[in-house]
Amino acid sequence: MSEQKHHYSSEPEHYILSSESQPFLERLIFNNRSLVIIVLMALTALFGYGLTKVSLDASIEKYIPLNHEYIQNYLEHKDEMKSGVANVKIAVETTSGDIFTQEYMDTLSKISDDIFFVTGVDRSGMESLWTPNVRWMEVTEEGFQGGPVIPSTYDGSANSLEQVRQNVLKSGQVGRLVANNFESSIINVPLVEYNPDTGEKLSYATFSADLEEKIRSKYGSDEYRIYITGTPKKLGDLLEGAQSIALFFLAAMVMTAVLLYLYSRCIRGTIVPIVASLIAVVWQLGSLALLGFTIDLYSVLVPFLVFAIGISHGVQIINGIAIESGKGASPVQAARHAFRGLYVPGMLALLSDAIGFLTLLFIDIGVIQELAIAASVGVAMIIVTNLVLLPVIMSYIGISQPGVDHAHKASQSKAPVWRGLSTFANRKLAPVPIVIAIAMGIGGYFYSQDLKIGDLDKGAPELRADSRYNQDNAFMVGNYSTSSDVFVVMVETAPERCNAYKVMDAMDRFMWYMENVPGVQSATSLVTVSKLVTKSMNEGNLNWSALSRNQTVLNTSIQRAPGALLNSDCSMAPVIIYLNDHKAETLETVVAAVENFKDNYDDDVDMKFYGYRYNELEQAIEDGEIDSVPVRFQLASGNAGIEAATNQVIADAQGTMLIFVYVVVFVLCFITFRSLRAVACILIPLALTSILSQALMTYLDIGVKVATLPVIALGVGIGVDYGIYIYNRLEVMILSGKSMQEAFFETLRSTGKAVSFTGVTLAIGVATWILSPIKFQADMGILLTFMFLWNMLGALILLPALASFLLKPESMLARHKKKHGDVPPAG
Amino acid sequence: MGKQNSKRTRLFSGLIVTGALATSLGVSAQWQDPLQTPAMASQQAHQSLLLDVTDRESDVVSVGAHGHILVSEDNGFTWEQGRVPVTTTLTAVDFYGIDKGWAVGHDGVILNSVDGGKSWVKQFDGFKANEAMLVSARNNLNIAEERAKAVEGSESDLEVDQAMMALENAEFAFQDAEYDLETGSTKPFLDVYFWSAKDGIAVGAYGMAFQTMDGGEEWFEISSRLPNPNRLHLNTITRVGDYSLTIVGEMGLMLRSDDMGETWNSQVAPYDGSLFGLIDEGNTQILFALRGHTYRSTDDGITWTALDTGLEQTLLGGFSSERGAMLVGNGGSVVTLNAQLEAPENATITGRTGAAAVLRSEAGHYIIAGEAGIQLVDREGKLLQQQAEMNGEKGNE
Repeated sequence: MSEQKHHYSSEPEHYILSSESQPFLERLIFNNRSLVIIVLMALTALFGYGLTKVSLDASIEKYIPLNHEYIQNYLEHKDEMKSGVANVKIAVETTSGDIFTQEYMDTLSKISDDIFFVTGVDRSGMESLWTPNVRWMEVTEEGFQGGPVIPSTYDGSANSLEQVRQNVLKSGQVGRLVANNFESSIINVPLVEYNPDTGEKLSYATFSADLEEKIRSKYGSDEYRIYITGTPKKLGDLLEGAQSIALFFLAAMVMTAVLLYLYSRCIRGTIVPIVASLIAVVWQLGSLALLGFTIDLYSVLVPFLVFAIGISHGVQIINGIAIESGKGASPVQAARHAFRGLYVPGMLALLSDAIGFLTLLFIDIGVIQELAIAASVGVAMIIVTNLVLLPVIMSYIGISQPGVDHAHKASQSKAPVWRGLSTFANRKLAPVPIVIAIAMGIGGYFYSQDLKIGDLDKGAPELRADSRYNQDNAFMVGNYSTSSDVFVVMVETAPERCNAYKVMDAMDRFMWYMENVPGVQSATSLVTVSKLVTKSMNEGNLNWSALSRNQTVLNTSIQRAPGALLNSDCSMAPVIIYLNDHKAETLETVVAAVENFKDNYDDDVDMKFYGYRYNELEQAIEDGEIDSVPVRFQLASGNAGIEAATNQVIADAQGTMLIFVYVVVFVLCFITFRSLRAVACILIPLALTSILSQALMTYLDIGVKVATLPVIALGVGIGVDYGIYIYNRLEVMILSGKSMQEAFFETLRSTGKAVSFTGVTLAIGVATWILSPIKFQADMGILLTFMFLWNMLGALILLPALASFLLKPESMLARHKKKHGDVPPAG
Repeated sequence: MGKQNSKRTRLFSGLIVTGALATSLGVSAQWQDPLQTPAMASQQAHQSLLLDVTDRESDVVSVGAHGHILVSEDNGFTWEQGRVPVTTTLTAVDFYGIDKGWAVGHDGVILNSVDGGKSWVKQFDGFKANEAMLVSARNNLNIAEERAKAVEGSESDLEVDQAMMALENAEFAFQDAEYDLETGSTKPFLDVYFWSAKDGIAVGAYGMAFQTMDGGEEWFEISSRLPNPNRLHLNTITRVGDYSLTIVGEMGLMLRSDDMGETWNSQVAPYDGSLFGLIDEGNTQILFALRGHTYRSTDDGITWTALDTGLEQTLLGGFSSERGAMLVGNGGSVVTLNAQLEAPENATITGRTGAAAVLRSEAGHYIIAGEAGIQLVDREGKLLQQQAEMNGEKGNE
């Protein structure tokens, strides 16, 4: 019994906080219990107020690597190209026959009218068969003839419907506004940036909900199907999906509470850790909101982590208090002893979590950095709420008798499971898990060589493949001549020169060059328009679909070009490249091709020429300062362009981040335990988990992307906790003179039990994400669940097996003796 | 097409660059003129814009955008890309015999091959054309001025009016030629025809016409021989019978030479819109034009009867053999005629992309060149199961 007594009041050498400070910190807290409670409650009130400032942010900038060269180029022209993003397409499909029926046209007209009045719609830019800006055109003996596709004389008769059909064919809208199979047509809806009623930024969430309510549910039927795509709709769906996170949080909380009760058999011991962890969540959310941070689709997940980590540390404390109480200690004494025994490993674990998360700051993407900050702050908060507040509260209320009995019974039981597991610490059996681990590590390593960078799914990768949005997107891609993967190269020249023959010809060659690159479907630009118009001006004779060398002809040919194809001062014209998909290989091929073309065609001239006005440049050319109008090809914009940049950042950061995370946990573990052998025992299981989780990603076709990169850091950061707790206890047991197997048995039945509970709790918390409608949250959920469980198994099985070979109990004892004399570790 | 999927607001570009202190000399020799840039080897050339298709004995040659010249020796199923020294858009090609061929196109370019289309050299281009046009325009102006002087004070008002009008036209032509030379704006050739290994004529936009009598060593300007004072576009030149040539063009322009290009006369066309081509089979000719207008003549073009094609799409290309004819045009339109070049029936090629030229292959199917590149169709205009492809290995060289 005397050994038992020492378990929670003894510590081996720990160096982060010297043993001398221990009584001081303990005294400081427990001698001023009411003050501690008052101060912490006041802070809770403050951060609770901060909760009211929490806002969900859907700005796209946070999701992209703003400092990447490509993104910098994109941002320079962002304002000139922005409304291309804020655009929604609504397809109305008839399930019987084609669109040339009176009923269809009537329905389309009603839908078109209703959309007109949805808040946020840029009414003047709307396009549908019913809007007057959608026209047909043909060349006749008299010159151009044309009119609205649905003429003013339309009366729904068979004749007028036939006329509409003819007009549609002449309008060039087949594949654009009218499906290739004539079974649906599109209403193209550009959006304004600011809500005209309130003057505030348009809320995509509201807009998206409006469309669902006023269009889809009102008009969607077996007869007519409605499909909606476009970035605003996607963001709206994502924001809606993010709200379901609250539900998952609730579910995770309930499941945790049930587990906690089963574990502690004490209502108080169940509620207090939950309350303490919720307080940590409030602090985390509130403090960040007060500091001006917003919630995004990634940081919305941090409360789960904070809650789950809080619970797992809370459990250790409750476990300790219960065991102390079982030995007859008063609530205050029990709480003090538990605090004394656990605050060092607890703090070490939480610090390594926090610092591990901070390594994510090395990835230059807003959402990841904010995730790093939010998670680190949250974990730091847990140090106060669960290592300080929790034991102080427990010192008032104590563990209930059934809880104490339960803990006592457990500590006295034979614990066959733990007895069985402890055999892994026996040298005879230890080679089994070690050999299996080595085999898995090697196998996993080679398997994960196929791990891909980037998003691998079609459509909007943020959402599930079978989500409404992606189904709608698949419909659009299947029935219209559009691709949803767009790579934009910005062709820059001097003002008023984007339509110079040289610039246009360079663009023309660039487009053809790119169309020959595998993965590229087609390219379009000002040149496309110029050729089309030049052809049309020459009676539709195909022989004329070429660029004219005559500047006047060129000017005329682009007079009515869509504003999307050149900026206002004609110093930049985008080339829009449509891709088959956005797989990393495709993007890499495309980027390499563009860079190659750029090398051959970019004019190596002083940047000042790009700023020269028309006459200045004429003069410079005349003076021989420069040969001709300068031109250069700048990457990149469009969803595929941005993703290419993101992939590059992630590929670069992947290795760096892993190294940093491991260096951090290595350093922290080494300072604490002062033994390379100890560090090896803790880190090898972690490394195995890292390798296997990459293999799992390969198996599940999950790429390394913005969402999954942080998981590696989170997994290592949190996983190291188990090892720290287990090793810490194991060391105490060894120093108290037990055999390796016996020491490990004692470790398992106390700390191991809490660790396994922790592993399951954390896993449940993140496993709820798997149900998220947001694909990347689900991916994170799968990986984190895997890592938490696997790390737990590693700590319970592989760690003791490694310890049986790596640790030398005799020399550990000798070293301990040398430092502390003959004093046994027990205080 | 149809990929311009976004609207844009225009804002001022932020691309103002403060010049570096050092005045570096801007050397921008990266981009070369299309007339100096060899065409890129492409595995997609058969699917990009192609504008003409012609036979080279039993083989087929097609030309089009980006300086593409493609040769097929198996009735259009597989194609090889010729080496071409320019990237300009080529509009027409003609072969005499199996080896000698000429391709013409934008920027007034004329290319020549003596190895059956494998490799090409530039014989002529728009800059030379501009100089030639200016010389010729100056001559014409001088002649017109002299004539105007000569008729001064003439009794005949008509004669004076005519001379003054000719002078005015010559002045305009001269000014335009000067402008073109100065701005480098070079006009496209639209068709070329060779009736021997040495004799050929290339015609083009704004009345431009050049002839050679030595296989293209020297091209001389013959615009002034043509009764085309308004310098209308010359769309095609066609052999009619044994000794005649017919040029058709803009605004019902129809010119005929019965001495292989020495002298030209205006003919009255049955239609005053643009004429895009003429086909000649036996004693029958078919004239096709804007918006599906099609006419048939059995008396060398003196009288024409309209054929009802049922089409409103412009017809741009045609081909005839003793088995009948096929006309093709915008929107994938196809018109077929029987052996008597009568009884038109129309069809639309799936995909509705514009077609510019057509040729009947020895295998009996038709090879169409157009916006979708090469398309192979049967007599009814249905796409064949097997379509064209590039010959992988050799296409890359």
